[in-house]
Amino acid sequence: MSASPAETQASTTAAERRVGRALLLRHMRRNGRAFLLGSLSLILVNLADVSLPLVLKLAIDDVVLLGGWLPLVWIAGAYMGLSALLATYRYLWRRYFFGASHRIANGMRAELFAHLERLPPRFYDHARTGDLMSRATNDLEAVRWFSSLGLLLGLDTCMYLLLIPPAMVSLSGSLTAWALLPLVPMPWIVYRLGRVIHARYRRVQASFGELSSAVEEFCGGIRVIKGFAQEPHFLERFRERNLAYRDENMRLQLVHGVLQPSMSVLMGLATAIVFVKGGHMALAGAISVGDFVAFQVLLLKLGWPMRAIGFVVNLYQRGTASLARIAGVLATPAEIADGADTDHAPARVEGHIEVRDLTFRYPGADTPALEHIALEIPPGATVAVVGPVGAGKSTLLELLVRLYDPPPETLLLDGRCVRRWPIARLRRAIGYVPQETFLFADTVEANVTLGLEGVGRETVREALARAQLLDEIEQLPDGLDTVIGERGVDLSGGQRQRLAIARAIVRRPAVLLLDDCLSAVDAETEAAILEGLREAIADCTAVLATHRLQVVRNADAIVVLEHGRVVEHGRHEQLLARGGVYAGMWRRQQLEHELEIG
Amino acid sequence: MARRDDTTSHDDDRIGQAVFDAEIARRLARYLRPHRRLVLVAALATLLLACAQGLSPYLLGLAVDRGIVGRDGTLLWWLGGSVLGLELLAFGLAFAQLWLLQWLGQHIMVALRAELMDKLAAQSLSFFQRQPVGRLVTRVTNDVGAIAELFSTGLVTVVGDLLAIAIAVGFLLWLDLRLALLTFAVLPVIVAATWILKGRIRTAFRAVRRRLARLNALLAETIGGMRVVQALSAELPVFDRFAERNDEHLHAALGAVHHNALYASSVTALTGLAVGVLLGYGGERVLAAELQVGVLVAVVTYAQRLYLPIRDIAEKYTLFQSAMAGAERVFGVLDAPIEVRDPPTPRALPEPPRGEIEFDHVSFRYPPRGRPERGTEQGSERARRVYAIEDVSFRVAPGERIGIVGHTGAGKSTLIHLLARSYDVTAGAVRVDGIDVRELPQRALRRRIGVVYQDVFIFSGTVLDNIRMGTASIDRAAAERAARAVGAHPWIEALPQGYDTPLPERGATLSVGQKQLLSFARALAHDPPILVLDEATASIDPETEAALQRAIERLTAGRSSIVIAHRLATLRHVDRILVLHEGRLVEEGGWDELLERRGRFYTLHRLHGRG
Ligand SMILES: Nc1ncnc2c1ncn2[C@@H]1O[C@H](COP(=O)(O)OP(=O)(O)OP(=O)(O)O)[C@@H](O)[C@H]1O
Ligand SMILES: Nc1ncnc2c1ncn2[C@@H]1O[C@H](COP(=O)(O)OP(=O)(O)OP(=O)(O)O)[C@@H](O)[C@H]1O
Ligand SMILES: [Mg+2]
Ligand SMILES: [Mg+2]
Repeated sequence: MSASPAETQASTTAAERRVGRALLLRHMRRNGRAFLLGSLSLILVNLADVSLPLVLKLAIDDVVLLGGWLPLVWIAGAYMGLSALLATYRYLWRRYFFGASHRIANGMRAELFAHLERLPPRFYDHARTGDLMSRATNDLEAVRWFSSLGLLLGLDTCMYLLLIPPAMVSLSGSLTAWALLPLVPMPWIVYRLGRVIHARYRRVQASFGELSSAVEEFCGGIRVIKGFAQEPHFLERFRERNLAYRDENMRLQLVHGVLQPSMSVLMGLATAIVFVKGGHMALAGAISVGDFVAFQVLLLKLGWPMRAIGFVVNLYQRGTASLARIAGVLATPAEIADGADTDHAPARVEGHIEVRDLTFRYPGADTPALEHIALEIPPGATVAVVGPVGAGKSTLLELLVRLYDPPPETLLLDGRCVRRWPIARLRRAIGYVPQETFLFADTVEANVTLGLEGVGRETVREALARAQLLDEIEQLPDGLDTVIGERGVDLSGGQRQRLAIARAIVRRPAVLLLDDCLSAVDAETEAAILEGLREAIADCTAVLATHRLQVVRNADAIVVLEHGRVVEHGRHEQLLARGGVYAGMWRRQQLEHELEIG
Repeated sequence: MARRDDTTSHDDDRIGQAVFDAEIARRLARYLRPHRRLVLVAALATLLLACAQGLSPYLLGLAVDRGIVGRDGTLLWWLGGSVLGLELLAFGLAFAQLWLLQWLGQHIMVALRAELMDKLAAQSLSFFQRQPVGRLVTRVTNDVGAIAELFSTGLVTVVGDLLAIAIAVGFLLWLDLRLALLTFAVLPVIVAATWILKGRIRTAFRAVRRRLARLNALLAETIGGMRVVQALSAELPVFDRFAERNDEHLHAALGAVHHNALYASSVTALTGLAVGVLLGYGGERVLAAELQVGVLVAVVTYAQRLYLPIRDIAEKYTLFQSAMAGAERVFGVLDAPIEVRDPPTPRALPEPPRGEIEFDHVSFRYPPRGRPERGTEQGSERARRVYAIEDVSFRVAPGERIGIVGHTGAGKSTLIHLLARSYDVTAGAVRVDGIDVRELPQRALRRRIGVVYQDVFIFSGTVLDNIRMGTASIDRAAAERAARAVGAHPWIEALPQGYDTPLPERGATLSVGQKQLLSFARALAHDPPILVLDEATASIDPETEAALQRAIERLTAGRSSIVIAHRLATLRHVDRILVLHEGRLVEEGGWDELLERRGRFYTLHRLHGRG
């Protein structure tokens, strides 16, 4: 992965820089009009600002020299009118500039989210939520400040820097040269310190991600933490990151604290030179006293943009560092997506599954999770996958929905490799109930439909009924509209699983993948659900991974996995007759069962 | 789509009163108190800096009058030297000021974050159930950040601005009383404008914060559930929902920009008005020879100086409001009542532990759930089960092994929550070793009870860290022993770095059964006097479970334990079985005894044997 957020990456790569720049430019261009109008308003503000002293001068001259020849009311009125204009444009440039920056942030956030939706599970396996979050919040904010205030100040500074030196030259060329001499090292300072700021800010943001992750994990795992009375341990873990973040911040501020005042010192040096050199030139009559004063005033005016440079550099470096972090996510390829070899030919999914010598290894794992698997599941068949913990049952199902990519042409649905199916069509055709239920903090209904269109309430009810959950849901205060807690914290384990089953049923899939989805359900409910499923999915291909052998007895075929390999394959009776692994398992269950009968 | 709204949003709207700001400010100021000296030094540096910078025009005057006009070449050298010296001094001062203020902001930030986390650690589970994790993260990170920003950059500018205002007012009064009063005449208008706009600006900023928190909560949640979103091909609707919130936030932000810009420009316009009036009226007085023109110039200059800092404060208002809105939410978390607390004078558990548990007529109802945004008609008139647990009584003798069975949703896990005092009972009492759990320190209680929860949670960190959970007394050997007991040792060894293999958040690279085994090993390693297994073997194959069971029997001999299971075989060896139905204890007894009774257990058992 080009930019895994899992590792605390503290330097910006060229690719990130490039993607980041393109991203910013694209979004700025989208708001080009606002930036244009904002700049225009800004110029008008500056013009009005400059003309106000002139009106003042006019008033004084009128009173002193002309004895009130011009009615003072007019002058006062002019002043007020100009102020009103100033106020209007000031309002406008703020609205345009800051509005545009919010729009940029909004657009980038949407783009980031859309990309996150495309990133494969293998990215999320190693990603830290807190870090991703901090990219979408803090880093976006830094980019926003850069694209509003940073840009604004940058423009302002450039304008001043372009206008003032020529004015100086018009007074005295040689004095200008002397005065600007101390400014020669400025670009170098800005460059060097700027790079340091960039690097340190990156570290600050990375450490912010760590901090967020710590808080995220603390709140997410609070039940376990409290259960083991280990709050102090996890608070300590947090404290370390809290302090680390502070220290990184202080390291950044150190540079910032040097940068800003050092610009002022350079200006001070220039002023001192003009005092001595200019003063002596005035003494020698090379320039007039007025020139000397005017020169000083111009230098003074240069003071503001010089100070602003520090600001701008800071905003710029932070902005680009953050932009690179955002770009880091965007530059991570969405591996599982439709591509050139996707076959868009329309086809009704029959549900014929074929596995051809499939070997699959998770990235970073020493041993393959699946090895040389070969299977064929005819349409409408029910196949059970059993085997010990970690045998690869879930992996097989995940490959079928293409959460991970199997090697080409090893996993086929209706004769077409799953990698060549349009991804959305493939997944729509499959009803997948993952082993671990994930529910959203949303209504029950929304959790069932997950935005699926054209699903009426009745359909939702029916699905819930088949999953044996409808009665319990109707007992809740708001029925289908009850909002459940994050990850379904306020439902029982079995209720959560049944909700996930309803979610798959409502999609009326051609292939149903049930990954141990009845593990938290009692026997009575289990039987009822299986009954309901049998009706709902009469002609659909079903693959179920499970640890309960009673459930699989009637399956058309049973696949026994061990260490990623198929060790046995056949119908219940065949496998029993073989007297192998499955028969052993079954005997154990039978033994248990006999025990139960007592 | 109806979504759970920010549960605190109603409170937000209620506390829109002005007193509230003052109170927040006062509370924030409290965080400055330990750093009084530092604040003083920073203020001094700011003052000196202003003086050092203010001296330059005076030196310039000297250079012109004495140096050039007075033809004193050496003085020019001296003056040049002083300018440079002053600037160097200013450099030191500016650096000191910046550094000190950042230090201040950062330390307050660290303190606030620590305080927040301490509070979260003390909060009861019901609190977390109502708060999306993403929102809490926003509180601890971004909201506190906004407050720190106020301390490190906002405060000093405001102090400086207030100083400038005071000076301007002083000079105005000294120069000409009537003109001064005229200048101040606009002030009430500005105050009024501030008053009118302030409420709106605050509302706008609150809306921004609230919507941002909502947006972030959704983002965090979706990141967590991305697999499901993708597997069910729900990317588009989920994106739409996100976009909706994203746009909601944008609108709030644009509203805030609008109000802020409006405020800044109205101050500009009013300043113009004031100066215009001054020009007209003062000019007439100069013409009437009642006033020197120099005074008028000075008054106008100072009038502008008076309003400039006011406008500056207005500009800083953004920062302020962000901080205030942030502080409000942070304090909201800090002030949230803790539902389950330690008693003022906790009792000590007897040593050595006996492992006795007693449920004495326990009833319990969960706190109400969040309500959807849109009103609802249906469901309300239906008969509802209000109590999750109703009048349950049983006793677990020291060393006894108890099994609990019942339909899904019967209230089995709830019983465990009550035992570990994650919630407080509504009626009745839960006793451990004869003491009501409400009279015990929570952490001491929980150290006595090792629970393997139904929802497994694996932390990022190594496998070993996950077994130890920070308990210093569990060394590598003990952790390994626990892992062996649950049969996790072989595959842990097979991981790239064995017990030191780092696991990602939530153990994403393990199979579900592996996670469950790990969490089992975690509980065993802690060697608790009371062991509670809530569906601890649900995702484990029968083979592994059988081995596991033998190991547990060995390990828990003489220890009280409660085992909850749907697979009845798991309960074959317990001493007594409790059957829970819709929150009530309906049957109780030994395996054979219950079978003979032909009640609910018998039905469950028969179904279990079907096939
Ligand atoms: N935090 C909560 N807030 C409100 N209601 C809850 C909460 N947790 C659980 N419930 C409800 O209380 C009832 C009992 O839940 P509990 O988790 O105790 O069931 P259980 O017996 O453990 O079921 P399972 O076998 O499915 O795990 C259920 O109807 C559930 O919806
Ligand atoms: N995302 C992942 N990255 C790396 N390795 C993984 C990942 N998911 C699973 N594994 C490993 O692959 C192997 C097979 O895992 P899988 O989840 O398919 O097992 P399973 O048969 O479903 O087990 P269980 O019965 O516990 O659900 C295990 O050793 C597991 O540790
Ligand atoms: Mg699995
Ligand atoms: Mg439960």
